[in-house]
Amino acid sequence: MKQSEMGKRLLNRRNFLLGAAVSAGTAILAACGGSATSTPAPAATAAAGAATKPAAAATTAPAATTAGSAAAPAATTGTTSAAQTTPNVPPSGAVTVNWFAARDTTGYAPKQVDAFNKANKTIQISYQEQGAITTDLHDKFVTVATAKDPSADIVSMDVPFVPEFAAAGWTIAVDDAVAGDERAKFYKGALDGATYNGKLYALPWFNNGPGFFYRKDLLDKAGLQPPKTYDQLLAAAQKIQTPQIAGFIQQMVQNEGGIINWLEYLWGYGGDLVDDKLNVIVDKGTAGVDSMQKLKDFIYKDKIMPESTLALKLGQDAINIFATGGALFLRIWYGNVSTLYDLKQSKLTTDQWGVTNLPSKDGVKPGPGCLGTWNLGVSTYSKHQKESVVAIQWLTSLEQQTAKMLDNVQLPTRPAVFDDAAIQKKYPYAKNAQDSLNNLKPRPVTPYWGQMSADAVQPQFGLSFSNKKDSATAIKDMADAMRKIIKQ
Amino acid sequence: MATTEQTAAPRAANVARTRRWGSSQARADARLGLALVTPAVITIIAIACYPLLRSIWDSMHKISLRFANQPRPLIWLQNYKDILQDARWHNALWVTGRVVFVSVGVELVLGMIIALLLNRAFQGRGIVRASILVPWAITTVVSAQMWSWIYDARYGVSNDILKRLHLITKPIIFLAQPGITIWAMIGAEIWKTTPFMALLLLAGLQLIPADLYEAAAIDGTNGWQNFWKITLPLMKPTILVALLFRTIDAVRIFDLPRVLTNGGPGQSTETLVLYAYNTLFTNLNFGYGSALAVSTFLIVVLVSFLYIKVLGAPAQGSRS
Repeated sequence: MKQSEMGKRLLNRRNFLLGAAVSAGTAILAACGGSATSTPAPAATAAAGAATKPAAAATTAPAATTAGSAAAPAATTGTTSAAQTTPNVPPSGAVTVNWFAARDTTGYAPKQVDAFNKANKTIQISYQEQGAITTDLHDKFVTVATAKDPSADIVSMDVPFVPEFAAAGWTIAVDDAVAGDERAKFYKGALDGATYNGKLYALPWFNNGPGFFYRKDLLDKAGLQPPKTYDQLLAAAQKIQTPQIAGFIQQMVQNEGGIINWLEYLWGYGGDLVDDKLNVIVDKGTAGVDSMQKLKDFIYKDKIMPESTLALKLGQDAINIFATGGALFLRIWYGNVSTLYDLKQSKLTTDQWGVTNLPSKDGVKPGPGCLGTWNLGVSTYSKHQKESVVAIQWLTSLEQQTAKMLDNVQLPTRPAVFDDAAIQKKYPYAKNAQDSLNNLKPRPVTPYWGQMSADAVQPQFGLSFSNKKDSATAIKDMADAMRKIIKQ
Repeated sequence: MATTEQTAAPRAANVARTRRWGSSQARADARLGLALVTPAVITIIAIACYPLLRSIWDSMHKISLRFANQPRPLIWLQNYKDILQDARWHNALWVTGRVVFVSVGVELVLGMIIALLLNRAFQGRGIVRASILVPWAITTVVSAQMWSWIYDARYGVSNDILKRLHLITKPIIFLAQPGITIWAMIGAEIWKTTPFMALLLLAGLQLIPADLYEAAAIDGTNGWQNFWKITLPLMKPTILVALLFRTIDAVRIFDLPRVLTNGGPGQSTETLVLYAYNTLFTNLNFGYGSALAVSTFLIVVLVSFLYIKVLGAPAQGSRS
């Protein structure tokens, strides 16, 4: 017994010491974690995490082979990461500019970069994707910019990033990059989305707007035309949908990509979040509540939109359902269309589906879509700003945009691309796409938008659409939270 | 080696003899020791102390990066006063609290059962022990992505199993229903970290001398009595260490909610660290965000302190 007594004491003391040492260690670690402000560590982990996401998709793919959707992102990432890991040997004396990009699910951007690097002797682009969702790219660039780090030269920007980064002084004005006549060759809406306080802070790289996709074969069989109004959409969906084929799907997830699907209905009902002077108006009038209720009814009352749309994190998730024959109607970005042309991913032939403009409340005009342009800007802390501007001029040139649309269907920011005969031949819907591009509205153009969206709109959207809050209360709480953010 | 032997040598006997020449030797030793330790100290200051102190300093300022060249007034503890009245922080605290209590509690029970099983001799024990660690070894972001597939409403295996068992008729939207999502997240957290708990507890189990059980067997105890009278009391320090590890870890939970839900739906899965992160990186509010980060740090310190107090008790008691 004596021996065991000793053993017990030893054990106790050893564990005590271990515990003490460990807690001291963890306290230090916690301190490191807590000090997110001054060190880029947490963001770096987040970015590293984002980088591992494709791996996750790859590992989970076998578990969900029926989806076909898991395989798709994994496959595309395969090509992109290959492009990243096999850098060209840069010609001696060439300047390398780093391009902070969002995930290109089409895999086209790395190919484009290769083309640039082969054609160019003095400038080389190093293409660096920063994660699957746009927030990953945003947070990574914020980390780099707050540290005044020169490692980002070119940065891809979603529309709301432009005013945010410009106001913070993190990107430079690029008015000189498209001087004179050249500027008039871009879509005005796309340029407006890249402008802050009267200065151009980025070049519109590819255009994006929503299209309303429908199953042509199913509509024909039922003797119906594609819907022009919300009520026609509802009637057709109720008539045709089956347990296997959902009536209507769009991303209703609580994130930036999700809330846009409600914003388009809000605009369709004649409302908006804020007016030109940044006054919150979403709770004025009935448009806010009515538009939200309309979509909620689609889910809970009319049952044409499955609840699972609340969890469609990526546009790719939504189009995969449509491409595998799981939906009658789909609202999705034109930027995702390449999936429908890829017969490895799509079970539908191109005869089976069609695309038209978004439906609206009265059907007189098409419903407004959300401006989803992606822009290319240059970091204030870049050591190669001149070279970066040259690179983004090349990437947004007419030739490049034409080649890009032919390859991966991403819409151009220059209308002249649509005049190309090859484009018109390959994409019969090009006219609809043009209509969509002429009918786009931006999200509120303000440096406050990021916080407004994340802290006010998204949470209330999530609570309302998961049916935990009635529409009126959600809209009121949203408006209150938005006012608080602007006032601070 | 020579140095350590000399410093460790019994001094009392040799004091008189070594004093005269030993003092210069000792000084040289001290100098060498100082030189050897300096890089480590500088590293610790650079990577641990500086960021921590800088965070605390930032947290006493009003820092918004939304507009270039905004002033950064020193406001002392105002950010902390605001935190105490911040409903969103209270919510994050409540979310984090539930994650900590439920996940650590369940992990303790499951981990103990697994550790007891693994402590028995059976064929292929090595392989089982190694394979049980797999969930813990996978990067959290990867396993979070995997769980978001498991919870997927359309293709997810969890809904498929529930359907086949005729427990549900329509799929549960695990990741978009307030009230369900947090439990889905806690489930993933438990899956991921139970092996870690089991590993720590297994190490403790192996320290218990076998002769105790032999003696108990002679006295005619049954397995249940063995567990309550021998295993558990001797495991107490190990359990407390394991709990400390996991509690601190769970308070700082970030990557799982960030990937699985990003705090939604509403803010029903927004944890303390996720709130701090969003304040820093989405809202660009570095003063308040730092205060949120530091307050999380203070909570961790408090938890550690409480555990060490509890932990200290048996160590003291066994000595008397």
